[in-house]
Amino acid sequence: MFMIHLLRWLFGWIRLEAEGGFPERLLNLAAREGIELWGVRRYGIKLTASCPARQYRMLRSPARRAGMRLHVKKRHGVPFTLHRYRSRSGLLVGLTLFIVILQLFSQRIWIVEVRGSKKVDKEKILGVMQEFGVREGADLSNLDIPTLQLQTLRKLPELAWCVVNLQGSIAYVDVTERISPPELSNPDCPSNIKAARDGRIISIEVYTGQSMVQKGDAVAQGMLLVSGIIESSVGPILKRSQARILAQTVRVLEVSVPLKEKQLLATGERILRPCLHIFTLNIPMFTDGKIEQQNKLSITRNMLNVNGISLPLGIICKSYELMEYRDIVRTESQAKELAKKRLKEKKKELAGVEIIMENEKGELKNGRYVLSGVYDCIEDICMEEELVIE
Amino acid sequence: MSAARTKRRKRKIQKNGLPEKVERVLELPVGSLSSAARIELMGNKRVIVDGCHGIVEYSDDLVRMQTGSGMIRFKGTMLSISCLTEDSAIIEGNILSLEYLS
Repeated sequence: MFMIHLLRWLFGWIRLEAEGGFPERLLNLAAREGIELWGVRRYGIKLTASCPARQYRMLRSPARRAGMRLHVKKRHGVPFTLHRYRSRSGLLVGLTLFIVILQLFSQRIWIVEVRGSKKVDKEKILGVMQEFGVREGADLSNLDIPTLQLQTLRKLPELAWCVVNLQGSIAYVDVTERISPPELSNPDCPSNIKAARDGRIISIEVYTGQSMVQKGDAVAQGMLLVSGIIESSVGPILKRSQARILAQTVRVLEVSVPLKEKQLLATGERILRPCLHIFTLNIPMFTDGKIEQQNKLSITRNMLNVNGISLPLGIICKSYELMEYRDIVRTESQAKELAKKRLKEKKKELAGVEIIMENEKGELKNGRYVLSGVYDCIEDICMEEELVIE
Repeated sequence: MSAARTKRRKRKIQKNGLPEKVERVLELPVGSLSSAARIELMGNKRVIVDGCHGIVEYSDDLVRMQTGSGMIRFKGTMLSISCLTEDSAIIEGNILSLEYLS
């Protein structure tokens, strides 16, 4: 019934009134002519009924033959509504534009989102996807998804699986990263163990191979600690050396901070260059030319958000912080503070090494504050070196 | 002699109604072959007449129509024809009676 009402409304219908003559004859003639009538009511000498707008003209002949006069009481439906607004062409243009824009934009990718990547950079995946046509504003009908999935996997071997799921105008790139198998050391490949740095051995644990040093020995960098060639009664046997040799070593770290130097610093002046971003199109909203001065660029994206989804429409604001070289003069204490800070940063190199004693000393030397630290450490000095057998 | 017999047979067939006989023998729905009207009453508010050959009389409290099974008359109040086509009609309102007039 709903469909009938909808079709009647779409094609338009008329509520009519007929009077005089023979109503029954009108009804019979109309039915015979194939004119659809509904809602027929009799009010004394008057008869009211509804008929499709396109059949109203056909009803005139039966009405004349039945001796009845027809009047239109009310017009309903789309054709009459459109007729009412025929002088307002803007509405029609707006409606047409709306339909065209809706049709056009619904066939394009609005957002590309990568899901499931932890180690592989999302930008890298997006870059590869862009190469294969999955980018904002791309035509959905031109995408050959099965092929591009294979090509992406070929291009990004760190991915085990990649699929592009289209949900409306959003392209979800779902990926699974490859878990590479652990590298197994080849036990058949013979090797020696040499000292990675100078030191005094404090403990030796040799698992395979022939130990060449003893606890308490002083060793220099590159010295043979464990040999992979084991002498036996049947001749030399080649083995892969494995050991853990801890030695007391000395590490020296040095940083220097000049009391006077030229440094690139921000002037505090900023230049804003906003752009209107529509899909891949960036429309500049500024008239100035190129910035000649040295600067630091920071980009802020203010995109239109709908239900937590960032649309490719918005303002991209590029902020250029102007920089210039300035002379910096530091006092000795300022230089010392800075040097301490830098040395602390540098000490991160000694991660995994046990420091048993440290001695930091600072002094002014040729206009620079030099801070040097001497660290007595305990560390594993084993360095495996493959034996090349010809 | 034979012409008279044929005439008599024809008259007999028309009287008994061959299509009705076929319908009965083959157990087909009534009205599928014959011109008998099929009248469907939904309570006393709505009636669907299939095989309506025309409206003879129509007013607020009476509808008389010609069908394949003869003339029928509906009496009631606020009667309206909600749909009318060449061979069917839907009558709505408070139906009080249905009469076969012939």
